[in-house]
Amino acid sequence: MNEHEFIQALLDPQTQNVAFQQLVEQYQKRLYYHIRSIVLNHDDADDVLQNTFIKVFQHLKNFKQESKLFTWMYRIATNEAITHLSQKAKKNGRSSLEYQAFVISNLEADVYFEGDEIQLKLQKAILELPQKQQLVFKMRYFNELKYEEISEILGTSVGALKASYHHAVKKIEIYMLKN
Amino acid sequence: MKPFTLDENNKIEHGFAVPENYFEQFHQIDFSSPSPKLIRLNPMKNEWFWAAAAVLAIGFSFTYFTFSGNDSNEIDVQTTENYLVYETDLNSDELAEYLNEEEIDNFKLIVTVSN
Repeated sequence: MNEHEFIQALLDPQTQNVAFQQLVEQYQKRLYYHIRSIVLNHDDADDVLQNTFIKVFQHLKNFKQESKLFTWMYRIATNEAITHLSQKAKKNGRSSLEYQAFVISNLEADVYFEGDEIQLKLQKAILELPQKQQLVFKMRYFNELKYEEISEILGTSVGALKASYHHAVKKIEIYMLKN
Repeated sequence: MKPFTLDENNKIEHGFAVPENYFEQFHQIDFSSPSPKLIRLNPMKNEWFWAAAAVLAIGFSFTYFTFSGNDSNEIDVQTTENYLVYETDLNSDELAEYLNEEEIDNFKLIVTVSN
């Protein structure tokens, strides 16, 4: 079954149950870790992942298939995660970056964080980057997405993404060395 | 000091973990709802799973004790005999109407032993 046929199966009431199950099985892990890298906390990532799949389902009929289904889902996940993060930050009377810093300061006590000292330090280093640079770094370094895929998801040129990633790596290396 | 480099061949992982069986949960969308909801069915945590397991266990136990061997039938005969002997005022002739010869022999044996 090609992607177009798969999308048709998702839209057809006769087949959408099985097709949706396949969609979740196929993409949940990658989407979860992408979302988790933004919101940092498991419970938040779980909520955002669920919202992402619901949004995918709700808007699938409007999907023009100009990009791959996977990159379209990633875009929805990214938007949902950023929105969720800013809402949580607002509730806590903080900016998104301040809220992320707060979550990271509690990461050591998080039962669903198994990172060692260097992994924790890397998370703190990422936090020092501007938000878009953070996204580019996480998508490239942790999720191993191609620049072309990140370009489709974030709507930024490949050249700009390469430069952004390069700057992010240099800043992180300096942070890791100094701290 | 040796410079730190982020080597993609010797990557630092993110360190994020998930609850056990998190990715093994069954997901389904409630398509009947006007605002669709994602239903997650964790086979180990879902109450319906345990309810179904309990029903199966009871069903299996019932089937096993009802249909395994002739023991259940023999217990019924024994119970009937005991009831007739100890709980009623029936005499021997009346008892003979209810019991076949083999059952009467067993009855004699039981009465002999108990005497």
